[in-house]
Amino acid sequence: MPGIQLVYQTDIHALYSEHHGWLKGWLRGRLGNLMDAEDLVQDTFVRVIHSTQDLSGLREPRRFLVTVARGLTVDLFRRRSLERQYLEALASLPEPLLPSEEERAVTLETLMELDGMLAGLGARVREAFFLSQIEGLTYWRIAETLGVSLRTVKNYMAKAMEHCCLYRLERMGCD
Amino acid sequence: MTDVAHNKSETAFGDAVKTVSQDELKRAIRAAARWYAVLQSPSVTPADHQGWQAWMLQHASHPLAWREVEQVQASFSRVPGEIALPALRDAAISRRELLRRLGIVVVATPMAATAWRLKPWLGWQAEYTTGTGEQHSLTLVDGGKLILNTASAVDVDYSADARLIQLYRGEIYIETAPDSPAQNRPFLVATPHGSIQALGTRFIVSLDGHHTTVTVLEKIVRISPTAGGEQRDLESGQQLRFTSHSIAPTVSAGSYAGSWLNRSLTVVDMPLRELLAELSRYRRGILSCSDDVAGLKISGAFPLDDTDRALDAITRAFPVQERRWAGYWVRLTGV
Repeated sequence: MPGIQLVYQTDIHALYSEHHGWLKGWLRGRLGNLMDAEDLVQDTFVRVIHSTQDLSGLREPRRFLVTVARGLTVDLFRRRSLERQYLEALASLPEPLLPSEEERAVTLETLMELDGMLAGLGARVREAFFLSQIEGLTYWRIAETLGVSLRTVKNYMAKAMEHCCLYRLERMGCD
Repeated sequence: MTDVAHNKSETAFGDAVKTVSQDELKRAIRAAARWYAVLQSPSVTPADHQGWQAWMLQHASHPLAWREVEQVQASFSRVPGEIALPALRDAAISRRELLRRLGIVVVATPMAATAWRLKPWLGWQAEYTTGTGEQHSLTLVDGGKLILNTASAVDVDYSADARLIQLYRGEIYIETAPDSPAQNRPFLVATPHGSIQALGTRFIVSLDGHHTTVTVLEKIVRISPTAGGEQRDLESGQQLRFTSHSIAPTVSAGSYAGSWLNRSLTVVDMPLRELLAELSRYRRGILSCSDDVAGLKISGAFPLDDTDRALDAITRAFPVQERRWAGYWVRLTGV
C-alpha cells in the first residue's frame, strides 16, 4: 500500500532530521568517541526503519531513539569484548590451525548470537545448559557438578531451550 | 502487521495452507523444549521417542517449534567449545555490569507481534544420538541391544518387512534377539555404503566419511554394498571395511575389538598418530602429533571417559611431550 508507505517515509525523515544531531551528541557523551557515535546513529535509524513501531504516534521520540541506541551500544561493547577474547584464544594457536578470515567472522557472529541467547538466563540454568551444549556432559555429570537432581537438570534444560528459542523467534520477528 | 503467517505446500503436511499464530508457536516452543530435555536425558525410553513423534504430527506448529530447537543446538555446535567457553561464560554478568556503567535500567521489552514465516520442514533429526564422549545403551523392542558409541546417530525403524537400524554417523554395537516366530523379519544395519544383515549375532558397525567397518564378535553377518556386486559373509573374530562399490579383504579383528564397550580403548602396537585419531573421537578439540613421533608403536589400555588421563599416560610412558593451546588443541612432539 503505497499511501501508507509514503506517510511512513515522511515520519522517518522527520525523525531523522529533527533528532539525529541530538542523538549523536548523546551517544558521543557516553561513548567518548565520535566515530562510534556516528556509526551507532546510523545503526539506530536502520533499526527504527525496520521496526514495527508506529512512528507518527510517538510521544517521546528521543526516548524511543535512546532505547534503541542503548541496545545497540550494549551489542557493540559485547561484540568487542567477545572479539578480544576470541582473538586472544586464537593468538596462541599454531599457524596451520588458524581459521580463515571468513571462519572468524562466522564464529564471532555465532558468539554474539549465543551471548544474546544466554544473557537472560539465571546463572544455574545457564551453567547447566553450557555444560550440556558446549562441554557435552551427560545429565548425570551435570547433576553431579551442580549438586542437583537429574529431574532438576531436565527442568533447567527445558527452561534454557525455551528461552533460547523464544529469543531467536523475537529476533527474527524484528529483523 | 498480522500475527498469522501463510505459506503454501512447502511443508511435509501436504498442500493445505497452514496458519500458525505467534501464540501457538510460543506454546509449541515450550512443549518442544520439554521434549528436547526428555530426549537428551539418560532415562529416555522408546516410549518417549514414540510420544515425541506423535507430538510432532499433532499440529503444524510442532515441527516448526522443533526446528527452532535444532537451530539453537546448531548455533552451539558452530563454535569450538574451548573458544566459546571463556568468551561466553560470564556473558550475562558482564552484560549487567555494562548496563550499569551505561546507566541503563534493564526493562523487559514485550515481544514484537510480527509475522512468523513458515519455513520448509527440513527433515527429522535422527532418533538416537550421542554427543562427543558419550555412550548410550538401548533395548530394542524385540529384546535386542543397541549401544551407541561417541558422536553417533541412528534411526531405529521396525516395519512389517524388516528390523532396520539406519546408521548416520559414528559407531554402534548390536546384539540381536530372535524376532517373534510369526514375523521372522530380517535384522539389517544400513549405512550410506550398504547393508549388513545379522544372522543371530553380536557385531559392531562403524561409519566414517569414506567407508563402513564391520567387526563380528559372534556368529555371522552378511555385507551387501549399495552398488550391488559381491556380497560377503563375515564370521566371528573377523573384520572388514567396505564402500558402496567394493569390499576390502577380510582381516582378523584384534582381541581388543569392542573395548569401547567397557569405556576403554585397548590397543596393541598401534602407531601414535592412529591412536590419537582414535582418542580424538572421544574429546572435543584437536589432537595431533609431530612426524618424528607419529610412528611410535603404543600398546596399552586407555580410559575413554577421561582422555586427558590417556594423554598423561602416553607422555609418561613414551618419549613425547604435550603442548596445549587454549585447551582445545593438543599436540604431542618428541622430547
